[in-house]
Amino acid sequence: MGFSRRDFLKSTAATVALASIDASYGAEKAAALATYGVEWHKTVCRYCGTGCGVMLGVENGKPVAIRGDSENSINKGLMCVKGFYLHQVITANNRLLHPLVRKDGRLVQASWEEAMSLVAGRFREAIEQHGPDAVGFYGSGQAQTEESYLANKLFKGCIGTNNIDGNPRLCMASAVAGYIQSFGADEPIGTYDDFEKTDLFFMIGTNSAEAHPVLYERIAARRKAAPNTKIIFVDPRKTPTNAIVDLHLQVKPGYDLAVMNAIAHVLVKEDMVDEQFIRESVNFNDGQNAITFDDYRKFLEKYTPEYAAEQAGVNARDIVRAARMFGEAPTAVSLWCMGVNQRAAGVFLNNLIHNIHLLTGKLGKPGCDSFSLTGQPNACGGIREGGALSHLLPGHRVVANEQHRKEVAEIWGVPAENIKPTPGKHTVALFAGATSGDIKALYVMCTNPAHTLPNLNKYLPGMERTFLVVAESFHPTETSKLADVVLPVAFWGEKEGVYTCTERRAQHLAKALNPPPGVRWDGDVLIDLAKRLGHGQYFAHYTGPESVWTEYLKMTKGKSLDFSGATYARLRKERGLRWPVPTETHPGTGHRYTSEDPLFPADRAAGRRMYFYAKPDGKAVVFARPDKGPEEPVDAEYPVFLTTNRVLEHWHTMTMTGSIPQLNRAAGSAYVEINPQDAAAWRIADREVVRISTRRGSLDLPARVIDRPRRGSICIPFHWPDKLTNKLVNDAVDPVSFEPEYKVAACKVEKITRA
Amino acid sequence: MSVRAVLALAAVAISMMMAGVASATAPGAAAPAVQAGEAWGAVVVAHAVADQQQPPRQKHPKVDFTQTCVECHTRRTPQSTEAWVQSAHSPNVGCFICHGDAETDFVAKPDNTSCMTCHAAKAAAMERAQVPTCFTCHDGHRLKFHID
Repeated sequence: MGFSRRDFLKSTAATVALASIDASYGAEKAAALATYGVEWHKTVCRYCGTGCGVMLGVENGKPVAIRGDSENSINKGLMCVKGFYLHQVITANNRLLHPLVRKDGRLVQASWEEAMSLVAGRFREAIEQHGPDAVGFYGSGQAQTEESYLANKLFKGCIGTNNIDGNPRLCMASAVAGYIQSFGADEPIGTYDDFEKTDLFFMIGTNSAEAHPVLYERIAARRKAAPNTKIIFVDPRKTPTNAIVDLHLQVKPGYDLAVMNAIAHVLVKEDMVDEQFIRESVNFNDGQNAITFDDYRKFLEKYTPEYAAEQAGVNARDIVRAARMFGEAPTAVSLWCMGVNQRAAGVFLNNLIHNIHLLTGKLGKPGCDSFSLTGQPNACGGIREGGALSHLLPGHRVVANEQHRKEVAEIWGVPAENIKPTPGKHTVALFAGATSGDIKALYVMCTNPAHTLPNLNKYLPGMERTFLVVAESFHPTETSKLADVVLPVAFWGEKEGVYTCTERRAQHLAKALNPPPGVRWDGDVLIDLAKRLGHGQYFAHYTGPESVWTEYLKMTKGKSLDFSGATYARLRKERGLRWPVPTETHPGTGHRYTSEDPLFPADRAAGRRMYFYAKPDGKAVVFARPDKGPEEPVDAEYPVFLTTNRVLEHWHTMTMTGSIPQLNRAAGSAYVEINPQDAAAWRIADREVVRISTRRGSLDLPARVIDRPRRGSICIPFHWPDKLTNKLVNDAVDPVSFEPEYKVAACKVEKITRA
Repeated sequence: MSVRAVLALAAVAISMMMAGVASATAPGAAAPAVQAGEAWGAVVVAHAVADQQQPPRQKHPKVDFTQTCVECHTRRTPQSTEAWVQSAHSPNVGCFICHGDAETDFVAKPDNTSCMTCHAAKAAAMERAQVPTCFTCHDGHRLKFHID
C-alpha cells in the first residue's frame, strides 16, 4: 500500500499541528493534507463497548493508518492493542468480496441477483407455508443502529414476527433486566466521568485490564492521581487487573450472590446506610411483593459474613473489610461485565450490586454509580435502545404494550396490527427452533453464532438444517461455513452510522472509504430484501443511514433515552452526545434521575435528590434476592469448575484480530489455565495437552500452569475457532433475561495417555 | 540532529504550508475531520524525525514461536522485561507494538511511529524540547522520563 512507518509519522504529527491552527489557516491545513496525501476521519473503535474515539487515515482511497483521537474524552488519544491494528483489518485476506451460494453442498461464487433472489424466495416460501414465525433474524451489538433499526422494522413491522434477537442477549441481557427492575429504565445512571471522581471502585466479574484496557487505564490513572482511591475485586480468577487491586475476594465460581448479600448485611448492621436517601428514593421488594426495610433487615440476617464466606470459599474478614471500605468511602463506582451477566442468576446478581448503592445513597452524584460495562460497540445503541430483541421495540418500548406498538407502527408507517403483542424467540430459543425445524429460514447479520452459542454441539445441527443466510464482511467464519447464502457486506470505515457506547454516548462513524466492488451496505441489502418480499413501499423514503437515524430520533422523543438533539450534523462535529439530549443545544446528561437530567420532574420530586421517574412513585427498588449457586454444581463425576475468559489481544471470535500477525504472536493459540497446586496434584506439566470434558463435550488443550484460576477451577479463553470452548459450556439461561450461564460449568480434567 | 537542522526544516515546513496547495479531499468524499493537537510547531518535529534514518529492520533469531515474546524474554532479557512489566504500558502495550511480531516484521530499535498512535498530541512537547525522538528522554522499556 506504500505507506511506511515514516509516512505515518509525518502525517500524524503534521495533522496534529495543523489542527491547532485556527480557522483562518484553512489553506495551510489543506496544503499539509495534500503534501502528505492522507485524510484523517473521526470515527469510533470497532471493538468493545468503551467507545474510544479513533482517527482513520486514508490515502488514495485506501486505509493506511490509525491513531487515537486525543480530543475524545473517553480515551484522550489512547488505544488498546486491538484497536492499534484496526485499519489493517479492513483489507485483511479474509474479506469476502462476492456473494456465495451453496450448491451441491459447497459454497460457490454467485451474483447478487442470484443470491438475493434465492434468499427472498426461501423466506417467502417459509412465510407462506408456515406463517411469519417460521422465519427469524439474529443481529448484533456490532451492527450500526441504522442497520438494526431497518432489520427490526422489516421483521417486526412488515413480516410480522418478533423472532428477531441479537447477540447482546448473550452478553448484557441480565444487565438490562437488572437496571429495569431496580431503577425502572435501562442503562447506567452516570458516566465514565465518575471514574475520575470516585474514592472506591467495586469491580466484580470484570477483567478490565484485558477486556476494557482503556477504561482500566482510566481507573489506574485515578488511583495514581488520588492514592487513597481503593479497589475491591470480586472474581474467581486472578487476572492482570489484580495489578491495581487492594482487596481481592477470589470467590468460588457461581457463589458470589451470598457475598453481595453479606456486604449488604454489614452495611445495614453497622449503620453505614443513607437513611434519608432510603426514605425518599427507595422501596423494598422480595421479588413478589413490596416489603419494608425491617423485612429486608430480617432477610439479611441469614447472610452473615461467615455464611457467605462458607458459601463462596473466601475469608469472612475480607467480606467485612470490603463492606466497610464500601460503606466508609464517600463515593463508589461499581463495575461489572460478563462474570456477572453470563449467569443463570445474572439478573439477581445485578440487583444485588444495585442494592449496595441504593442502601448507601451512592448514586446520582459525582464519583458514584452502579455501572455495567458492555462488550460490544453498539449493544447499547442498536439493540437495547433500538429495541432489536424479541420482546422490545425502539426507544425502550416493549411489544407487549399496545400503546408502544401503535407509536412505533405510526413512525414506521405500517399497520399497527403487523406488530405482534407476544415476544418472539430469544436467542437460545431461536436456535433451538432451527434445530427443531420450527425456524425454516434465518438471517444472521454481523455475528458468528456457530462460534458463540453455548452448548454448541446442540445447536450446530439446527444451523445446518435451516435455510441460513449470513451477511458478513469476512469468510470463512464458523457460521458462514454452515450458511446456504453468504452476503458480502461493508465493514467499519466503509459505511456511515452511529454507535452508542456503555456510557449512553452516541458517536458518529465516518464513511472514510468506499467498500470494495461487489460489497454492499447491510442497510441496502435489508431494503433490497424488503422490496423482494413485497414491503418496498415502507422503505422507499430512506436515502441512506442519515435518513434512517433521523427517523429513529422520532422514536426517542420524550422517552428516557431522548436523542432528539443528536442529529447527524451535530454528531459529525462533536465527540458524541450522552442521552438524554432533547434539543440541538442540549449538551447531554451526566447523571440521570437528578436535577441535571432534562427529564427530571422537579415538581414531582418535591425536593428529593433523585427521582426514578420510570418507576410509578419515583423510587428505586432494593430487592431481597436469595443466594443461588450455579445451575451445574461440581460433583464426583465432574469435580472441577470450568469458567471462560477473554485475552487482551483478541476480540470475540477472531474474525478481525485473527488476521493480525502481531496479535497472534502475543496470543497465538488456545490453552487451559490450571492452578499450579492443582497441576501438581493432577501431575500435569506446563504445556502438556489435557482433555477437558463436560456433560456437553470435550476439548484437548495444552495446559498453561499459572496462578490465575482459583484451586478447583480451570479457565479457557473462548476465542480460537479451532478449539470451540463453547461446546463445553452450559446453555441454561437466566429465567428473566434468558442470558446463558457461560461462566460456570462442571468439568473434569484428564491427562491424555499417548500410545 | 542539531538544533540548526531542526530550524532549517521548520522553515521548509512552514513554507510548504504557506504555498496553499489545493485540498486533497475529493469532491463528494466525506470531509476529513482533523484532530486538534497541541501546537503548530509539531510540524517541525514531523520533518526532523521523519528525515532521520529509518530504523533498521533486523532478523529475529529463529526461536520456538509457539511461545509469546514475554515467555521467552523473561528468561533472555529479564531486565528489559521487568522494566516493561513495571511500566505504565504493561499489560496493554505489548512488545509487538514497537518491535513487530518478530517473524513478518521485526524492529530491534524502534522509532517513534508506534508512540504516535496514542501520543500524537505530545509531538509539540518534543518540538519545545528540541529532541528528535521520544526515546531521547524516555527509557524504551521503563518509559519513565529519565530525569524522574
